[in-house]
Amino acid sequence: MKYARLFFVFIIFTEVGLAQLQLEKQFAYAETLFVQEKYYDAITEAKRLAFFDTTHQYSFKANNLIAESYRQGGKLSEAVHYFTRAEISSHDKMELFSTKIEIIKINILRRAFSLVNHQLNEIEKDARFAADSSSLQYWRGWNYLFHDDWEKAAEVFGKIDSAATLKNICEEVQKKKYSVSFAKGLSVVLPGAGQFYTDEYVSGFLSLGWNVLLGYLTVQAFSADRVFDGMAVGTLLWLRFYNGNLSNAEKFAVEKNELIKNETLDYLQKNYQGLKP
Amino acid sequence: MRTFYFLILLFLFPTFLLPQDSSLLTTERRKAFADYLFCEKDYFRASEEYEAINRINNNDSLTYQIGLCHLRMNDYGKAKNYFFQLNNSSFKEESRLLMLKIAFLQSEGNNGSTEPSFKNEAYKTASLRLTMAIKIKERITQTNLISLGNILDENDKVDFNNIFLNQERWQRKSPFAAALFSAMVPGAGKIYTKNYGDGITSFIVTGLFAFLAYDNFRAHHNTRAWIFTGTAAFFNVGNIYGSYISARNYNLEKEEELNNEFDSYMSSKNYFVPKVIEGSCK
Repeated sequence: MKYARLFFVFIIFTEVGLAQLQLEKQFAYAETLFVQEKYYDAITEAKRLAFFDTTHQYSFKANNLIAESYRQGGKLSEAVHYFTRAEISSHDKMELFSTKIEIIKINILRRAFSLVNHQLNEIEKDARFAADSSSLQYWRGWNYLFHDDWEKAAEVFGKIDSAATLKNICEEVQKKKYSVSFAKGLSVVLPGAGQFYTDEYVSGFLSLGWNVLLGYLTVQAFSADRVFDGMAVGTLLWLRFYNGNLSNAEKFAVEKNELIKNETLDYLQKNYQGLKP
Repeated sequence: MRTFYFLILLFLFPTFLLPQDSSLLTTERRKAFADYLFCEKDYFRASEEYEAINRINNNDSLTYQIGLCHLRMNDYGKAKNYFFQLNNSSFKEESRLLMLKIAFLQSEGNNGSTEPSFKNEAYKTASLRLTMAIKIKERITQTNLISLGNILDENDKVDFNNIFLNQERWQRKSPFAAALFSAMVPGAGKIYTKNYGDGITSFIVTGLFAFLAYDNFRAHHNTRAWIFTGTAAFFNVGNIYGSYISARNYNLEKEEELNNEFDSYMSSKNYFVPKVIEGSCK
């Protein structure tokens, strides 16, 4: 009877132990696939782990791995979905904070500016994360950076000692950028001047040339009392070219700014060594 | 001696259990996992899991599930292949009905093949409704609600009637007529195709340039007059061609609008297919 009892206890322990071993092996397998950049398979195996892990012991790790794999595969919505699941199954404050930050990082990449702001504010209000305020500031800076608000980003990064490089980059971008309203204003006063300001010289000369020519034809028609001709050339041609010159100046400034922004983001993605979304 | 046997047993027991180490991949567990993936709407992975089991343990239920996965992924070609394999199985009626649904979704007729037969009354009614819907979509039959007999219930009859009426009320615009109208009066073709804004603009612009040409000829400014004549002619040719295109676009847009309206109606009715045959999740 004693042996039977012992044997029964042994069976129970062995079963539990083997199940444990099985889940551990499954997690290691999913992780290996992730390291080998086989993200699709890593997701399948992590999902299998999450499904068979009835005690939810691996819930956080599995969901985190699935989310990371989705992020690496560029499926950001799915990544957020699984990070949220990981957040729900987090075991301690650190795990909870890290998943919240991961979700914020993805939302920064998705350019969801207001949502990120709201999420950061919510974490800031939470007393449990009072010690993590500099980390929150750091991601706020990145949020401004992706929102094309380099001035604010520089201001936020300026408050964090470790983010001096980012602050300098933001200030440099701010200096390099063209003022859209100034470009347009220049072209209002002198057609083509806005294009010169944005270094588009050929377009600037063409704009100036067309406007001078059509302006001359319009004035000439009016001074020769050919009112109808003057109105036709003035409204149908000169006004069109004048308006075109204004929108051209605006377009060039916007395009150049976009180029500066994309080049900087590209540079940060490839060369910046610190934490990034 | 008893202790000895006990120790032997203790030693052997884990050896029996260890081969089950990879048991997350047993048929039953894989099937349970695939069902979970299906309910999670991860149809591609679900189909892969079903296929992996099917390779070892071929059965109709799995083939049907794989077909459902492809149907949910809108991969109609593959779904049809799987359902076709079930033509002589216990899933034949469900498969036939889903193939009819695919025919509707792909805007395909049954290409002259005989209409599938059903023993199940609910499936039979569903198939008749779907066949009728396919014909409506192909514009093969015109309003003939009498022929629908008892197939449709009262609400459906009203809905179908409205769809029929919308289709009948709509009259195609002839691209040639539109071009001809615009050749006679600039912009008239566009107004005929209900493109009022463009029609009025065409009329004003062409008319203005024609007037400028006339005015300049009268004032003996021949060079400018010819420039305005050329511009007016250029605008008018563009306007004639634009009217032709406008009529064609009108027909295409209207057709698409009617098709979308009908598709969303059918979708709201789940294409008359009982939901239970498309895989149920708790």
